[in-house]
Amino acid sequence: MRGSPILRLVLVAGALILLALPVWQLTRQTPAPILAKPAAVAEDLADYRVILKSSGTARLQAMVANQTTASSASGVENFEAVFSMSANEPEDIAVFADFVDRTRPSALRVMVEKGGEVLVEKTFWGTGVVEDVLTIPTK
Amino acid sequence: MLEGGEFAAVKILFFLMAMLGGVSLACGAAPIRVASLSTVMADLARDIGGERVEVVEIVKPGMDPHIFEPAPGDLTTISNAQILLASGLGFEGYLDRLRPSLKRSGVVLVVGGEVVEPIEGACEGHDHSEDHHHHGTSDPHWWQSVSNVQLVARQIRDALIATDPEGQGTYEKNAAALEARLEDLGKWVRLQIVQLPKKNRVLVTSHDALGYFAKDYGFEILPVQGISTSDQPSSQKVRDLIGRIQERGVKAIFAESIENPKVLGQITAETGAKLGGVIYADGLGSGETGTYEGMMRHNVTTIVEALK
Repeated sequence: MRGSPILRLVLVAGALILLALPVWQLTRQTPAPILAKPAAVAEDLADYRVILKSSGTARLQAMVANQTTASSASGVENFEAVFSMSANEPEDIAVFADFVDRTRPSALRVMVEKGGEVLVEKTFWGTGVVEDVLTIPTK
Repeated sequence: MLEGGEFAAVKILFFLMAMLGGVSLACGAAPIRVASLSTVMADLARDIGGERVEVVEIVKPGMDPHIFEPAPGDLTTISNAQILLASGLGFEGYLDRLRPSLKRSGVVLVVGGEVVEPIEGACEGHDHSEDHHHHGTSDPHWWQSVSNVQLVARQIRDALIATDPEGQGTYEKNAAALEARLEDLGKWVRLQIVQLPKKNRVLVTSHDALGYFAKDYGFEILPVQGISTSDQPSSQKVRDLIGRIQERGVKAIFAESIENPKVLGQITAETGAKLGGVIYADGLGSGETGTYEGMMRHNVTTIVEALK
């Protein structure tokens, strides 16, 4: 049977659209799911006191990511700094001692306290310059 | 007591022996032949062995060791070696097939993975029946931890001493110097990583090869692929990964030296994270990354700069 050309065109176009629909559904670009961001949680902060003691006169420093580096004058043997950090997951602390006498083995004792409780204590050794990283254990 | 003539003869004999010894030292004994399936272990062996060893790299920098298969020429090189170095922990899927011929040829096999404490590795999306994809459930990329490399350096030192006892002094001296440099490297890495706040310590990489690094320095790993470069992520996994990258606000993701970073490029387009640079996960590169220390310094600098 030979129908109207327009009708045939409509039928063929309809059939093609029906065939193409599932392919389009599978291949179309879908926007990435937008995940609801968790409501900003007020971070629980605490003060951590970092106490540095050197075996000889030196310039002492303590550094925490994204905070101002705390530095002593040169020629001291004791230095303290306080950093405000997460109470649950505090940052690591970099410590540094540049000794006046650069020829002898030297030591840097570091202690970290929170609320009067000693969290960690460690001694680092070197000659001239002593630098290392202290990790505060989390409970 | 020796008579005058006998004494003179003994002196001449000693003189000749001393001359022969001198000639032998001047000519140099043949170097210990070391073949390596690991670019990292080859570098360690060169450092420790110095001029007493000749190291032939079967797996060369830039090759993908996950899909490497030794050619017949490589097998000849291996059987002519005195020591073969391998990473182990399933990294060389063909290693078990080599063992009988190594035994026949008297080649000492040194497997780095046997002296480190393995960690679990992610393992998904690939067929374990394929020989070159085979690996265990342990993460074989132990060299991403400096302390593991110190253990393996000692293992290589001991293997060289066992094979060439005359070189013990050289091997011990070179190994001690290497150990000191690795100590310094470990400290340098700690001092770099401390600049990154802990919330920024998320590593999105092509495949799950930085598990030991993550364990040492408190990173979370979000790999696109599994533990092997031949693992393929499902579209669902990629969608989940994109969601996690957005949720964590990850600043940068990293491509690896031996791969096409195209998939990572697609992820950056959808998440807004930048491509942080190329890191060396499966072994050494060339130029500044041609040594273990160079590779680690490059990787750490790339990571810290991108995630700060």
